[in-house]
Parts: sequence; C-alpha cells; structure tokens
Amino acid sequence: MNRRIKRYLAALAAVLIAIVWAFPVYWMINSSFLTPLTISASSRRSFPSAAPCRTTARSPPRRRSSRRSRCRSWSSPSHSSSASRSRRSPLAISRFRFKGRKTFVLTIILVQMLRPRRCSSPSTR
Amino acid sequence: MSIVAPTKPDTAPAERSRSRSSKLPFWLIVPAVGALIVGLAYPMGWQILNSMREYGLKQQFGEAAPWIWFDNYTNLLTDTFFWTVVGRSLVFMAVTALATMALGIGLALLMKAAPAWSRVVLQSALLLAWAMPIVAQMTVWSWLIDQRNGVLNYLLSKLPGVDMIGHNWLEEPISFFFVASVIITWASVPFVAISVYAALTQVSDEVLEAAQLDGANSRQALFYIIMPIIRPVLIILLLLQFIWDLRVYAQIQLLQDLGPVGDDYDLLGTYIFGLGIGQGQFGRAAAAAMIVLVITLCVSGFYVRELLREDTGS
Repeated sequence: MNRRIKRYLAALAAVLIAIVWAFPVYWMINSSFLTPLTISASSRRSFPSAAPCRTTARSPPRRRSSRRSRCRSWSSPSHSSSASRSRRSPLAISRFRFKGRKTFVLTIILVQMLRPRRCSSPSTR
Repeated sequence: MSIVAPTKPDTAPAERSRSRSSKLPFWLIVPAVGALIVGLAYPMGWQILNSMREYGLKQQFGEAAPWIWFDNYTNLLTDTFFWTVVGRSLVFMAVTALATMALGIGLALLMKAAPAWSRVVLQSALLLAWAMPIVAQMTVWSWLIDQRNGVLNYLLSKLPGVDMIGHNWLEEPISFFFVASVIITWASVPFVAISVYAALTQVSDEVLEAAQLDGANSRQALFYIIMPIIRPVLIILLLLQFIWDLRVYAQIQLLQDLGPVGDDYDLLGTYIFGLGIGQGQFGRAAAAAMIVLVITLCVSGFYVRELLREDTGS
C-alpha cells in the first residue's frame, strides 16, 4: 500500500480513537450544563445548547479568601519540597551508581504495593 | 648533568572531586529516604504489629490488644472465601493489565505512524481522559452505562435486532467486573501509550533503516528490533500495571455504591476495606494486607528481577 495512504489511514484512526477516548470527558462537560433532573430524565441530551446554563451559573462564586489560600497552598514549603524531592531522587538513581541504590529502587516498588494498608489502619478511619 | 626526577602528578584535586561526587547521590537521595521513613515507618510498623494482635472495635476504645501471633494469618489462609477473592483479583489483574498494555502499545505505534497533527489530537484526548479524577470518571461512566438512559445501551440498541434498553450492566458479577476492567483500562491506557511512545521516539532511525536494508519487514522490525530496544520501559509499565490493578479499590467501591451488594463483587481492596472498616476486624485486615503484599511480590517478582537485571546491564 502506498505510504501516503497508510499515513492518511493512521491519521483517520487516530482521530476516531481520540473521539472515542475523549467521549466520557465530553459527556462530563455536557452534563455540567444540565440540571440533575435533565441528567436523570429518560431522554438523553447530547448537546448542552438547548439547556440553560443554570448549573454552572448557580455554582457558588469563588471567594477571594479561598483563592488566596489555594495560591498559598501551591507555593507552600511542603509543595515545593516534595517537588524538589521528586526531582532529586530520579537524578540520583539515573546518574549515579552507589551503594544502596538497588535497595532504594526496590523500596519504591514495595511502596507501590503497600496501598491496601490504608484500609486496615484504624488511624485512617 | 643533573637529572630531574619526574614530579608526582598532583592527584589531590581529582581525588577530592571523586570523593565529593561519591557523596552527591547520597545527599540527593536523603530527602526521599527521609520522606519514606516518616511517611511509611509508622503505618507499616502499625500494620505488621496489628496483624499479629487481636485488634477489633474494643481495642479502638482503649482495651488492650492481646498478642495472638499468627492466628489472623492462619484464619485467613484457611478461609476458602479469601482464596476465592485472591483468585478473582489475580484474574482481574491479569486481564486488565494485559489489555491495558496491548492497547497502550497499539496506540503508541499508531502515534508513531500518524502525521503530527493527528498525533497531537490523539495525545490531547488521552491526556484529557487521564486527567479526570477517579470520582468524576466513575460518575460519568455510571451515566454512560445507566440501564434507563445510558448512551451505551442506547447505541447498542441501534444495532439491528438488539434491545439493550433496561439492561443493567452491574447486575451480574462477570458483567460488573467487565465494566470495571473497561473503565480502569480506559483510564490507564493514556499513561502506557504516552510512555511507550516516548520510548519509541528513542529508537534510532539508522537501526531501523539498517534492518530494512537487511530485508526485515515491518513485523520483524517490530518484534526483533523495536520491542527488544524498548523492553525496559515495557517491563516497568507491566510491573506497575500489575501492582495497580491488583490493589484496585476506588473504582470497585464506587461501582458497588451504584447498586450491587454482596461478596461476589469484592476484590482484594474492597475485601480488606470490608474486614477493617466494615466489620471492625483491624487485626485480620492488617494480616490480609500483608498477605496481599506477599502475593504482589510473588506475582511481580520476576519482573522486578528483570528490571534490576536490565538496570545493572545498562
């Protein structure tokens, strides 16, 4: 098959898959413009155009203080320290060979496996 | 005539630099190790200790927790229902992880073959799906599979001779886990596809050209050249998928909240949650979590070994 036709077909497949993959996201956006009654109605509404934008209009306005607190939380020392931590460790394990490197990698993999502990720890009720 | 003895080369700066650089990785890793110790030592220690004690609701109100050592483990390991849940979880993990990997690799190859504009469209769609929070994902999917007005039933009913209106996808356990697997695969594929695509971009064009000149067709180039080159990435992705799909909890719990109730809809995550929070058997739940850890290590042990071997070899 011609190389150019192959690329056209690949582009077509990519766009079709993109539509299918993003459909739930579209449905979420579409539903955000509908009232709860319309969402649970027996007839579907595939486009928000016919529906009034009451859902988003009714959402409480964002207060200045909450916005400020969010800004503060993003620039907080804990956030910046975790970000720098997440940059330094990959640098260490990818650029250096040192004693304990393998143990550290294994520990990180183990941590991924340990999530169910949250369900069994009474302190997290 | 005088002979000048050769002067000893000044090695001090080089040694100083080597010693400084040998300490550097430790300094780089210290913050992460500190966070791990602070964040994990207490819950992990608590879990190990509690798995060997009788820790129930009474102990939550201050009563002493007697040591029963391995009784929790023995009770669980002799419980047939526990093994049923383990088997179910392992099958769910294998099916979901392999489907995710197959689709992710397929999409990555498609991205490599497609023109740039369509690749950007596909990557944007994948990132949008990936960026959705789990609760939002589950809410939208619950609308899509709704038995009365869901899009899925509506579209399937458009097929000639098919009437799916009123079909409840969460009623039967098999159908329930199929839906859960589809949702988890849909959410996990973007990570795999984009990671594999990143690995594919590192495969040198010269190597592929050389293979083409040697007479290798596309399939041979894929299986004998591209796949071995990106193997370390595939191994770590498969390992992560195995781990994440075995300890899946939120999606199953949220799907159960939509209606189906009973032990037939449990995987290990919800089973442990039910033991601990539902029944107040924290000691037994801790033991179950430790057994799951051992099972995960057994399942992924081969891949971890391969990963470390690849890493040492590189």
